Amino acid sequence: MYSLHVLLVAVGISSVQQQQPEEMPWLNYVCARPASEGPGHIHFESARASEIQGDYRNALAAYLKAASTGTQWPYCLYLARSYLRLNEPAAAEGAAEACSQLAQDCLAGDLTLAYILGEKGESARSEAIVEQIIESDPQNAEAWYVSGRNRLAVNDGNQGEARLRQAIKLNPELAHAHLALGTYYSQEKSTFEQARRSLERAQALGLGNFKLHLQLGALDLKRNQISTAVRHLEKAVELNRLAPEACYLLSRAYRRSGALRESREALDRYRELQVRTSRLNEEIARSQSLYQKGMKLLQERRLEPALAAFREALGPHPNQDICHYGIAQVLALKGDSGGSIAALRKAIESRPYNAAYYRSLADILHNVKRTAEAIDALNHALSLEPANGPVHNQLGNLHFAASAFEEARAAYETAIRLDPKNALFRLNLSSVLQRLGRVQEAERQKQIFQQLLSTSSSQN
Amino acid sequence: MRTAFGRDAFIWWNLLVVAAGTPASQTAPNAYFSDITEPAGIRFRHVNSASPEKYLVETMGSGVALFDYDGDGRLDIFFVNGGRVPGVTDPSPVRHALYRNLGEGRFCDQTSTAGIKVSEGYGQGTAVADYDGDGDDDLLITNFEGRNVLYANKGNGTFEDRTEEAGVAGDGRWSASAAFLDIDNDGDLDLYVTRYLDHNFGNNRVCGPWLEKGIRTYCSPKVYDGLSDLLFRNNGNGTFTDISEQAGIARYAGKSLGVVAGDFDWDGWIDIYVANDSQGNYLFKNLRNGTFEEIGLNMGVAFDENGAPQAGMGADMADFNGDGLPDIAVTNLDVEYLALYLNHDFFFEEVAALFEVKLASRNLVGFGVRFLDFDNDSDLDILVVNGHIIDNIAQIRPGSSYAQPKLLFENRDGRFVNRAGQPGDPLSASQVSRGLAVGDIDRDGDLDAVVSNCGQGPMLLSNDHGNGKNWLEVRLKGIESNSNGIGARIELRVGEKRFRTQVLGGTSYLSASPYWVHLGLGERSEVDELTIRWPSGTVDTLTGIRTNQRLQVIEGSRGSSEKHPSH
Repeated sequence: MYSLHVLLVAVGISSVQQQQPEEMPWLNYVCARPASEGPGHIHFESARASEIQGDYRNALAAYLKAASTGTQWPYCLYLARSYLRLNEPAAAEGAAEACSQLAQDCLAGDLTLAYILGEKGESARSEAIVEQIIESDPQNAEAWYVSGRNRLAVNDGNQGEARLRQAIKLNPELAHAHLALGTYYSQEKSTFEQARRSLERAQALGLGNFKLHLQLGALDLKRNQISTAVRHLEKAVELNRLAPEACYLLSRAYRRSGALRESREALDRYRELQVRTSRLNEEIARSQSLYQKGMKLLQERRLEPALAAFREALGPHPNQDICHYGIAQVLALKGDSGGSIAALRKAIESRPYNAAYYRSLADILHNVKRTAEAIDALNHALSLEPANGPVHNQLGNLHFAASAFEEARAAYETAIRLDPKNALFRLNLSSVLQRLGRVQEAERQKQIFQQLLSTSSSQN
Repeated sequence: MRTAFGRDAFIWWNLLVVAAGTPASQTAPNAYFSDITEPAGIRFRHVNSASPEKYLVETMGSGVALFDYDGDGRLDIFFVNGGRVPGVTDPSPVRHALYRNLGEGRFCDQTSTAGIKVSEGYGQGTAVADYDGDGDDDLLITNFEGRNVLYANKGNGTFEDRTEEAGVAGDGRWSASAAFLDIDNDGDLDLYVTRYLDHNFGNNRVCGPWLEKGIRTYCSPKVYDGLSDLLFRNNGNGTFTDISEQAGIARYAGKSLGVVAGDFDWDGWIDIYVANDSQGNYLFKNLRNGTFEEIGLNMGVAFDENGAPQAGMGADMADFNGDGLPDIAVTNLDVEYLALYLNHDFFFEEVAALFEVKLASRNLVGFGVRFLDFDNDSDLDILVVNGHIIDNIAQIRPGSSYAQPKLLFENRDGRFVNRAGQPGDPLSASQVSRGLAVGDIDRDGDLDAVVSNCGQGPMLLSNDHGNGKNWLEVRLKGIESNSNGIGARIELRVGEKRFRTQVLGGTSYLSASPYWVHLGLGERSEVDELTIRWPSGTVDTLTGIRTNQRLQVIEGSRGSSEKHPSH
């Protein structure tokens, strides 16, 4: 559903960007740095180079390769950030959750997860994580920074400001904290001077991205500093040519500077972008509504009207993933596995970073005995959400069905590592160990299974 | 024209009407307003018929009007009611309510006596003006899935439905706010009706970010097409002609809610500002030949400070920074804010941050809005009434709520300070507020307010603060110009200070306030000069005017006045 938006944003960003201060500064923690050697390192360096070029898709592909070389940590941190940059918050959360479990002695995983939850609008969940970090490590500037952003997101200005100031007190080099504080201060005249100081400090620390120049330009416009407003806004437009707000502000700055022709041109450009953005937003909203209608009908088992709603939702944009996903669900219920698989592949093509699509695809492929393809789909899902125990278990089941018992055992063991109290995972591991002739180990797992089961029944 | 209600031009300057204090009310210490709804005898309850199908109209209305329907000089109240939606089993009719102001803070329900019928369609907004020029104010009700209804005031305390004769019914699609205005300065009042969405009970959509969890919500307006607004020219004989196409209005299919008709560039021709939901607002400049040009984007009044469309709901126009030029306020969604467009020589800047209303309004969904000088200190303050659109917002966004408090921004040295929110202040009470009308209901020399709420009873707010300072109320009576003086410019000279204001059409959200112009004058006891520039071109100038009085100015003559009883 969001793929068109992603495309617009990605194309609009200037192709070559300067190295900026890290937006997730905890990636600079010693525990979060990847080894300078090893199989993942080449892919990691390649990803970093793509990022500097502004090519986040290639960066993601390289990070995925790095993570597939055997060790997820710390590449999962970068994966999470890449998903976020590509406007894939669910995938970002999945990667960050895995990270947070993989290295529990390094706060970078938790901070990444908290940051991503905040970006997703789940400020309360994010805040619960950073509050714990602050409680255990009150000197952690980055935690105060994330907390400050969370508070501002729920319009708790006083707390947001206080927490950002605390972050800066603990680490005056946190450029993004200065930017967040400056953005907040820009909202009231009485704090314009503080806004200017904060934003200029962020700039002095090396930040020079679109958002900073936009904020500086907008602030200077409000402060009647027209020539500097023009300069910053021209830079913002240069950094992101598809951002209507930058063109709008630039048009107003030109007008106030007396450059009427330039003002008209910028306004024309704004109008063009705005019309396009508005149309796209409306189309997305309508498709989402039709998708919701389809889901409601699907819940009521009214399959034909549901199918019609999903197909109508595809309307002018046939690559809207969730509609294909809806169609796949209807077709699966109608017993049309081929059609369902085709629809899921279209969903994946439109949005390759949604693990749920791969899981559903694996289910259907397994049902029609295409086990190898099902395993492949689950491996894709696990590359997106490596900390999902049930998916590892599902993978174990598929390997078991394909008589690949060693692979099944490995998958069950991973599932158990992620969720040691899951009785089903233990039973499955016991079965595969039995098949492998490791009878004693199988028996031990069975005993644990029975213990877990009895504990569970006594609790119930 | 003398009637059973003693109606003539001067009888309503009834010196015997004494504002003898309001009845027992819910007053908080240090609060500026008290809630006198219950002691005033207001029992109206808005019926929104909230249903599981989440028809958007259920959460959008309805409006309220403050006007003197019986000519006794006191402001009466008309509440628009909502209606039924498909699937709701209660068959009882949904009634609007007309409350007559009896004085002394009491009202009585005169709806049936006055001949106001049950709601047709699903009631939305209201507008009031003397469209037929017979000296009394008539009443328009706009509807969703129903024709708009025009009630002519018969001058004897009753109304008659003249919709069909007048030709203003519309086509039954979703009408919202309305404004009477004189687009051609010919002395009769034309009519502008905003229309929201091309949505009806039959094409309702399903929306909700968490539908899988069983949480369905009202849809965003983005899922429906907009509708073009309607402009009717008054033919001068009790009928209107739809000139939306030829006037250039029909070209714009907005998602229009609020409207204010005022002369933004002081060229003597009334313009039209329209608040649009989720797309740019319109400023229709009057080209003086019966047509309009939409210049919202070029003038800087279409979008927020960064060029993003907002969810425009209500609108008002007034000179809040005292530079003599009309500025504009627009209420919007939460995470947006109350937009303030400052007029710089007829080019506008959005200045919510500069005037410090941005953060205070960010958490609230604003609807009705009026500039008013509630403390009579001679600058304009702002009253905003709020309430979320999504009734189950608390499930989706913890910390948000459907019912929300109001905002009262006091104008202090170039910025606005929210004065609402003290414990016990009725403005702090959370309600699902929609309409807002402002006027001196108790005739004590300061501005009171009435708020309509969605699915709830209304709130009648008595101003307990403003009458410590001086004031002047100017009531215009057009002769060559339209009877209500809509479009007239009023200029005051008070010592070194000069004020400019105007009589507006429309304003707020789905609501109508009286056309009487209330001016706070602070410590000044006399207005040196008062000039009225009528839409006809007539200019009346009065000098040496005492404050604290209601002054009627009849076009082409010197004014007559009623001294305020308490001064």
